[in-house]
Amino acid sequence: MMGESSLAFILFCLAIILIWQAVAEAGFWPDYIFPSPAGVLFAIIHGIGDESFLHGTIASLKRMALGFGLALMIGVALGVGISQSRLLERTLGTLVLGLQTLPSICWLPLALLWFGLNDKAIIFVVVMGAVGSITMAISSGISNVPPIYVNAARTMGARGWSLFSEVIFPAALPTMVSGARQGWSFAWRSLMAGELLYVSAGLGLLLQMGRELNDINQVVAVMLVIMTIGFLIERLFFTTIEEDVRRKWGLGKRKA
Amino acid sequence: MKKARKVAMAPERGAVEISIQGVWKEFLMKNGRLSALEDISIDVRKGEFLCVIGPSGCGKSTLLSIIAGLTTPERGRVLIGGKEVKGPGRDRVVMFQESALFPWLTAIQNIEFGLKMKGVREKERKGLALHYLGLVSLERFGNSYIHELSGGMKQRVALARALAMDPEVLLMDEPFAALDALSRDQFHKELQEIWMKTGHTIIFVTHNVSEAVCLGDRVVLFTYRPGKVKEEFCIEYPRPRESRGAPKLDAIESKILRELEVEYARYREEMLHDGRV
Repeated sequence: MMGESSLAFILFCLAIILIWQAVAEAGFWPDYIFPSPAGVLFAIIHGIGDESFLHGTIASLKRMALGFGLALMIGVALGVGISQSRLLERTLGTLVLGLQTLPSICWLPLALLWFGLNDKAIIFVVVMGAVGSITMAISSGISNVPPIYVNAARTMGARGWSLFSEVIFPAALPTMVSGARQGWSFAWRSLMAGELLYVSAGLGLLLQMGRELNDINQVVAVMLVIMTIGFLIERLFFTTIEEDVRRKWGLGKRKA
Repeated sequence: MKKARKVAMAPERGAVEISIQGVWKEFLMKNGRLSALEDISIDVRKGEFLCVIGPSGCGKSTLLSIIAGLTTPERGRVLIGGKEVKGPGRDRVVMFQESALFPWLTAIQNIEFGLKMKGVREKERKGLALHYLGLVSLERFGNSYIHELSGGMKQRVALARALAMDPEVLLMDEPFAALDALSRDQFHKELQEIWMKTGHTIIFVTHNVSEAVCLGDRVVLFTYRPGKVKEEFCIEYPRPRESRGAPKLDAIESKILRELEVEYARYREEMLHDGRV
């Protein structure tokens, strides 16, 4: 089953590359407007060879790790608070929901004014990208814990912290993991946007450099790298954890 | 307090373990108050198996929740071994209709959870949990997750978890309602055997008359909304009893059934009435 679907995917990619090569060779556009697969492949090899991709990836992932880590801490604190207080839910909860409609890259100008042209500004944008989803997932995960689990635990003597850490938290975990994954994907998009606008190291810088050097091969090569890293982390890492948790908890596969 | 209260009382002598004294409970609904329990007074002797029966919505589960300390009554109180119930306590364990087992733990970890809350040391937990798993004949399924078990097996684990807490009082809220008839008969037999060994005080809520007659030393019948004690039936018959086939039990069963049908008629009438409005 798995082998069949990955075979189909590989054939699909080959077909796209063949069509791409054919269109490039047909010569409708000059090669600085429409790159060929071979040109992009050389750009990828070059980028790997001179380690610029490696350094760019490390710079971007460092920002992600820092920003996402901060977002997790803030999100858990806010989410737990909102789930425990009706007042906080109506005030802070509504504010968080409202802020989620604001694309987090819109925080960049404000961040630049606050922190200046440095890493702090871009990490701030990453935090703002992830924190909303995490907060909402934590609070809804906790509020939707079936009361029967809590009642059963209470009759067995669970109170306070043990009730929270051993019953409410694990019961809410599937929702929390989904929220973390969603937060990560928002943050990744915000980071790329931020790195494009405010240039200093990272994959976004490589992309922007490609444009400035009129090197369309590098532009497409970096796009592929960004997509691959996003796919590896979001789809493979987070989705695997999510599905593991859901299977163990006896929940069905999540759609989409 | 002036009004003489009808107290359902165990016929045999023995210390009173659970004393429900004049309990009232109301719920706030969209269109006013709903009186769920009205002046419930029942004494349960230590080691007695009491069944509470009544139609859906008669407040019998609410009463169990009050005894468990999960719900507070408007008036009245519940004493367990002479002490007033102020909240949940380890002297009482509830077994719910749905298993209420934790899906993130295996069967044996679920049983160990209660032991951990009780403060049993880690070294002893595993052995105790295995013992109780054996009591419900599920030794081989200790490492299964809950969603891998059938409905009957889930309730077995839930029973083992409750027994492992070694409570004074076992509160059972229609624990076998979702099972097929054959598994239920098997459970009736095993529960009686376990109870005859352990001597727990049990309050068992059900709407199944033959179940109540098979299990109970005494059956208390509740009226439909507000729940009041309508009548009580003492069932003196040797154990372990079979779920069907004993003429004496069948006679009591049809007697209770007749009373219960009156309550169900009121239930249907009210449903119909609500439908029209």
